[in-house]
Amino acid sequence: MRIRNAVLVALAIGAVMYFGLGLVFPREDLHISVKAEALVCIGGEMGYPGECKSGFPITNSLVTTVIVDLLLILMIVFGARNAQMVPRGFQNFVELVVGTFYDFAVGVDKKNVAKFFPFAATAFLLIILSNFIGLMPGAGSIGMCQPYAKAAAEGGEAEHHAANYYAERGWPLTCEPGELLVPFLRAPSADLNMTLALGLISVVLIQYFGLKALGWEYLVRFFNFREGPMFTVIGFIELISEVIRIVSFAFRLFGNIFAGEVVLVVLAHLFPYMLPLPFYAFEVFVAAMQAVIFSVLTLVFMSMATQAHGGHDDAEHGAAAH
Amino acid sequence: MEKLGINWGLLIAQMFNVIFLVWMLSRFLFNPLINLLSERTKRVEESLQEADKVREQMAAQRKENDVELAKARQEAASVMAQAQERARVQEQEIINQARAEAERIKADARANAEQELDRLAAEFKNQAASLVTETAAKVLGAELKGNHKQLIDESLSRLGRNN
Amino acid sequence: MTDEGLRFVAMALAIGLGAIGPGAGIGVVFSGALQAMGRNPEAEGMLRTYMFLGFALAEVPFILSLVFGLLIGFSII
Repeated sequence: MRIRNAVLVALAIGAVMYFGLGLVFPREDLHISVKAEALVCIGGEMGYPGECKSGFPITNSLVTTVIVDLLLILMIVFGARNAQMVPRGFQNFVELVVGTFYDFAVGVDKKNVAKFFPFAATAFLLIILSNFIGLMPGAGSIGMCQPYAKAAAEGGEAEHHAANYYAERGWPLTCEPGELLVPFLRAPSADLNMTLALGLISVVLIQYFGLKALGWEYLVRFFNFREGPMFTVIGFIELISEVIRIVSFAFRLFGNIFAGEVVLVVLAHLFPYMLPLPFYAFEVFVAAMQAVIFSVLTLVFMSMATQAHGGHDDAEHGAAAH
Repeated sequence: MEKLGINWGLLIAQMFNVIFLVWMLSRFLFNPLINLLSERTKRVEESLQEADKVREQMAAQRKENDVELAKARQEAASVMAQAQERARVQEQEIINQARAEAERIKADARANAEQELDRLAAEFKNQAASLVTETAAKVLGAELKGNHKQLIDESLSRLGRNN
Repeated sequence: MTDEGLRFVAMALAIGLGAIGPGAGIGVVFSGALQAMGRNPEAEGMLRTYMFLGFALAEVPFILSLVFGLLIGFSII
């Protein structure tokens, strides 16, 4: 009863804010881009906003990737350089993260943990930091203005945009009419390049560890002509599923993070006050969850690749020891 | 592909970034920390074992000490008893000695006193004899010249009897 | 209905219909894993590993439909 009252009050306050503030501050027009927008083109010229006609694009997700790298370097500098036997301050936190994940990796595969751990843990840290930076206030909302005009000048079909309310009224810190906001920061995991790179490296490493552990025997699971046509077909399906694994790694991460951003933007567009909050909290959860899922799946696939065909004893043994 | 934003240059850049991160993190973060963690585990185990060992040693030491203490206490008690015994013997001896000394001193004193008395008595006898003689001579004059010797002896013996 | 509009409808249908099965499948995976963990808490580590494996396998159809939906929506195929 009290909870229902609280919910009703919150909804009422939200509605008042929605209608009241909505009159004073009309909403920005909605703009969602699947791809990471280019901020600068090296050795080329800008085309349509957020795209390079030629040259190497420095996209906003690349900028964020560099920021994530810097954060990781800071983590090393403050967390692991001069690591003391008795941890102090930030080292505690870094040790907690690394140690917990290491214990989990030991639980998945005790024998090969030293080989599997570096990539899985790197993916975990990289993805979780990327996702959190994408959720930071300011990411996706602070940026530079790029004109639409060039596309029209090219002779393509004229673009029609809803007029930007703020721009038309000459608000400060808004783009001119006919220009588009290109944010400086975008979650790297909401850019297919990064997720595809991670998925590719992950699958290549899985094959590498499988080949290294089992030798040519590893390929038997894909090209199995010894045990009859049934297993040949299954092997073929396994081969396809390895390729699909790249796609599934890449698009799972991309889809979750990008969809989360779209949900937040659309909700903020439709109902700017209060309602996006629980979804924001859910996106924080999803951001952490996707990092865990990516790294754990990598570990599990690696561990499966190093086991002989049809044998599951090692995995059960290793997991039971956890 | 273009419309999904996949750009070969960016893809390769991201792959290099991931490889660089794997190298950097495993070189500078994971390996040192995991070594540190395992070393800490080892050291904690070692120190726990050490503590157990020390505790055992201490228990053994304490037991040894207790035994030693008991022995020492016993020894002290025996020493004390011995000392007491010796003291009692010595005391007795001293007392005996003292008593003997006192006896001796008393005997000496008595002997001295008797001697003195004898001497005094003899002197007195001499003096008394001469005194009596003088007095008698003065009183009697020459009357007593004949047998005064006998008289002197007689009065002296009377005097000695009275004395 | 224009060709462009039809593409968007197709994308929405592909993603939306593709989400039905994996949604139910993921629910089954996690419910089974949770029941097993509740009955047999000692096996939690092993179950968690296989739970994520099942989750990944159940999610593949949705990922494929998402990919195809995006491919259709951005007129790549």
